[in-house]
Amino acid sequence: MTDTGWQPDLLLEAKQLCCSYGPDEVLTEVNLGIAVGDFVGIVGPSGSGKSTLLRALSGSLAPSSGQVSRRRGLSLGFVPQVDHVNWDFPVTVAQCILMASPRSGRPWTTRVERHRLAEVTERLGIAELTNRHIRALSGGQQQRMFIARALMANAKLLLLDEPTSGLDVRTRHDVLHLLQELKQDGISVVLTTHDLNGIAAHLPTLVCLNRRVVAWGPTQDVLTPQVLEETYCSPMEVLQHAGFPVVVDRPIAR
Amino acid sequence: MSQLLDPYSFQFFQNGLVVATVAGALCGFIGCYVVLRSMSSIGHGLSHAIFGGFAASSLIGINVYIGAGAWGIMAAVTIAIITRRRPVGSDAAIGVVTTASFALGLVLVQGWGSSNINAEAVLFGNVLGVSRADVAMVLGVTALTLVSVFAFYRQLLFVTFDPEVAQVSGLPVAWLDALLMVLLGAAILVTMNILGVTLIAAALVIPAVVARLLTASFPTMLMMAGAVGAIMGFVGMNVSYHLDLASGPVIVLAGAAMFVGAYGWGRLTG
Repeated sequence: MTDTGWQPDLLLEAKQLCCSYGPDEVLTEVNLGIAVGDFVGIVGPSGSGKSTLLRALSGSLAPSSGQVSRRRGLSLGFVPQVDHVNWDFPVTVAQCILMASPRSGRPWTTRVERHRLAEVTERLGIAELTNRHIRALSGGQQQRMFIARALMANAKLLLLDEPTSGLDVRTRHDVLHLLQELKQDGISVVLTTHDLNGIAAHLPTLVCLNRRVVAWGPTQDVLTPQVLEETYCSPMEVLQHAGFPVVVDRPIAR
Repeated sequence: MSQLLDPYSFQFFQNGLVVATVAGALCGFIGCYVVLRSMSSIGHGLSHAIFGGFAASSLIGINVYIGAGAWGIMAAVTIAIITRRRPVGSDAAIGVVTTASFALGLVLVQGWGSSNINAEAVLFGNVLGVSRADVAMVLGVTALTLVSVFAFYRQLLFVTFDPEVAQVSGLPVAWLDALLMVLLGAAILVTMNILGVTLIAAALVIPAVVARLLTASFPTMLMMAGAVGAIMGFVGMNVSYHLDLASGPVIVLAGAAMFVGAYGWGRLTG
């Protein structure tokens, strides 16, 4: 991590980033910058390195070469894929959210922490659920709990791994709207998604990834048949509906 | 009644009872982290590895706690080095290193051991082997564990629940992992005499599992596991004296009975 020549609105920057698991290189020479107020979706086929990129940006995965630079003092919040969470772990929603409170390691909560917990859970609409076991939450509530945990640590940049995976349409929209509200509150958001039409098409910025950055920019510029075909190695059409792009598979000619 | 209280007149039994009860609570307490992190094989393996250190330090004539402790750290580091070189997984590395260390301990004791090394006592536990120094050690390690868990409660909980996110959030995960391993190693060392290295894993796992069956709250689980471990040690010690059996197996069987009770209770109450 370096801080030299840092642009004031830049939060995170990947330069010539390469990541490998053993001999297999998963990401090749990724260059990417995340600035204040960004709301970025990372899309790509399975195995394209979306989660790997997110982990490298978060600092939990060391790159094999290249570097990720982070603004000094930046507070990051990471929301894991729900499939990777041990839902039998014996914690309540409040206990889970309070893990990230940086004030102390002691078991009890301070008045300030209780106030902050109430504020955050109220903000995310899960104030009534704080005494429940984490397994008793629905998919959307689980996402809200992890976002609350990140906010508890005053995160200024949220990294979310497949936050809408497995959610129904209504809950998916709720999560998306919540993230848009957080962005308006000054929190930058980067998420990975498989959902091109339900999520990606509604985001202002997209990164199309297939082990390398195929395209990166405003959604309208990036969601083109050429870029999608290069990313997914499959022919696709992009239609327009109610001001949003709609991606459809193009039948493969035989 | 007086027959039941007979053993309490013996100093060795008093020492053994204190160590068994406190060590039971200590293992139950630290066992919560072991079970929730799916590290049961580490607990099992580390106790076996330490036997090699016990045998070597006994033969050389150095303090057993220092020798076996250093050996345990070497075993843990060796496991970490092997695991880093894929494709050997951590469970396989634990299996190789700890069983080799255990086997080396057996060879050392059988080949070059003198009469003052009671291998059976170390393997299966022996109340006669508990000295006042052992009592002081187990009380010291328990105090250290309680202070550490109290001071780093939230960090240890975060690292146990989700190490990757904990790291992203800025917690020193490697340092906290090392702290947990040191506490685990120390708990195994001070419990070795009373439970025996072959049965320590049970003292680490059973109380935590019993507590988990009865509660879904982490702080309650910690306290409950400590209590279950203490009861297991206390009951096991008394029964082992009256039935004239090795303390380790009886303590573990007392825990197993509590597990059956908790499991049955869980089934009944849904």
